[in-house]
Amino acid sequence: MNVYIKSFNRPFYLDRCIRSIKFNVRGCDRIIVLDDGTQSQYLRKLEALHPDVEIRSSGAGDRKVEMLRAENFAAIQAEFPVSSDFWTAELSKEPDSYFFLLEDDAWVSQRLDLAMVRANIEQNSGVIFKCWWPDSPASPHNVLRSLRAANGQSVDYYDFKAEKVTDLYAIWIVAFAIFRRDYWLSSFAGVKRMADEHTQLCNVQDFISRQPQVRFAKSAVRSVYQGWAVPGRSTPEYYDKGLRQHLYMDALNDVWLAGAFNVAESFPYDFSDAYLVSVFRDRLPAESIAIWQNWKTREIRYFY
Amino acid sequence: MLSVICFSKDRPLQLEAYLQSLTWYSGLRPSLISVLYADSPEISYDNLRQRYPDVNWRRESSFHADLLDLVRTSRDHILLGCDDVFFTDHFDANVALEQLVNDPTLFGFSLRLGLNLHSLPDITRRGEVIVWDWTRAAFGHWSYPWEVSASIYRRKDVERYLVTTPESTNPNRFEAIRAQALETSRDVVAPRLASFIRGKCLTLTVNRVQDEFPNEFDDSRDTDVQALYRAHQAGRQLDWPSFNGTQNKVIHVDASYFRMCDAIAPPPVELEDVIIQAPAVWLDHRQLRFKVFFWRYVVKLKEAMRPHIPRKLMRLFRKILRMG
Repeated sequence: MNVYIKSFNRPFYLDRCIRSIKFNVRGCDRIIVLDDGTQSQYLRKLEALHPDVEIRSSGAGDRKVEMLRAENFAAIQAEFPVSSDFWTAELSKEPDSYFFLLEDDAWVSQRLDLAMVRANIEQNSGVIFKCWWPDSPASPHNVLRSLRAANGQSVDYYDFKAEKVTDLYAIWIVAFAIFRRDYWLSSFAGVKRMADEHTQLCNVQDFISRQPQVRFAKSAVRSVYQGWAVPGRSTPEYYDKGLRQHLYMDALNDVWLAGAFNVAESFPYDFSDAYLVSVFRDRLPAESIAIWQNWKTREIRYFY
Repeated sequence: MLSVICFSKDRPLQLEAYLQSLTWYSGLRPSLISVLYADSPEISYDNLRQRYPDVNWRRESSFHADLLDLVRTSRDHILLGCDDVFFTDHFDANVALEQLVNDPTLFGFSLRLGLNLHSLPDITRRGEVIVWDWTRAAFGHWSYPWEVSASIYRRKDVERYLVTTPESTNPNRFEAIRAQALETSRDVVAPRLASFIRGKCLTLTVNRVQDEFPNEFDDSRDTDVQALYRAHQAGRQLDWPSFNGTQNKVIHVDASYFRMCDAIAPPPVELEDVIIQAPAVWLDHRQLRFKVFFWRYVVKLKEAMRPHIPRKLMRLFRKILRMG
């Protein structure tokens, strides 16, 4: 099975993600990065570090990051309107019926046997095998059947309750899962913006009403971690709060480029705040660090 | 993440069992493993080097300098190992890393200890892991925190110790000097150790490759290093799969755990399939379809308007939504 990683200019995370796949994932044929604007100097270093990894570019080059630094969101929107077109075009070329999709700020935190999972979900008409989901006291996953292999691999099949559209998050997530190709592609039909998850959920509902026999699975515990060293999206929402994404990205990326960043720090957990602050301290004003700490404390705790 | 450093001297047959069983049961790739080996003139590791080209092979020239170099280029955690060990059960190294990252009171994570052994100290259970205070443990292995056959330590800690002990000139000294220093409190480390509930490996004591430390071994069968080397050259292998899931009571096992075979057949991965409940009929497609129909148009409208709404107004909307 091929592993795809969507990425945008966070090579320090992408490097960690790739290393985690090499460390934890078995049955991986190829690692393919779908890059939407990582700066070329970082891509060159990634290629040197991981010559076995294929990097496909959306064509954004260095311009997208330059526009972000100028906080010119209108220009980004005008010049690079639909990044999801790039993801869907690439994933529709995938010859296999299943693939594992990650984002650059995530990593595999447990052993994952892709061959075993794939054989099992294919046999059971599974369309998704979730490896990550938000931490919530009320789990949307009602486990029906549980497989446990001696090597630690687990596959839990689950049912779910859907009264409103957002309940369909129980069977959908934009990444961090093994997907059946037709399921993922149909959920992205007509999606013009990655953040437009409502359309994705509506598409999911259409799909399962057309194919009611499909099943949904997940790992027993989360086997992928998502990191929050920097905000995940380059949108005005963050900048309006004073959280200027590119400042933090640039600081971490440059230390990584210089070879002075430990991409495995605190693995399998996220980078510790203390470690990140030690990097920021030499490169960012105290006010920016305070805003970042406030964001981490107030908004990110929800996920873990 | 984890690097593995395995010590070997004149034991290609046993080392191959270490490599095969470790990669099979842990899923770790050979490229994560370094072997620091010493060989006598009549014993060659060339066959193994060819069979496992992804392993980082380092022929010993100066044990201390070679090891220090390997440690310095390792990842944040190191599994130290010896060629007389083989693994008997699956494990996920991430579990050990989680414990060591989370808990500064842990000195190391043992893969050889577990509740299957004798003379248990006071144990605390954390899911699939057990933790104990080695400074208060009364017996043998439980109060012996530093050992180089199958334990995971923090790289920084291994490096700190190694730079202060240039007299660590072979694996036995590397272990013994610190073990003595800890026993006499000349060296102070974190007070607790952890392991899986069940030990994951055995130490097969059927020969000895040094005379400085007269460790006991079972010589009741023809298992000296020359005999095993000849057998290995003739294509024989240590039959580690036949001890899959062994419930050993002691760490150091005798010649009754020594078996050879012509070819390795890895043990099957057992699968437990439990039906918990029948699917519930929770999905009211008709009702949901209506909501989806409604949402589609709301979202389309929102997405169409989005580029035309001034950023300040969007900011205000979001503030109101947050307040709500």
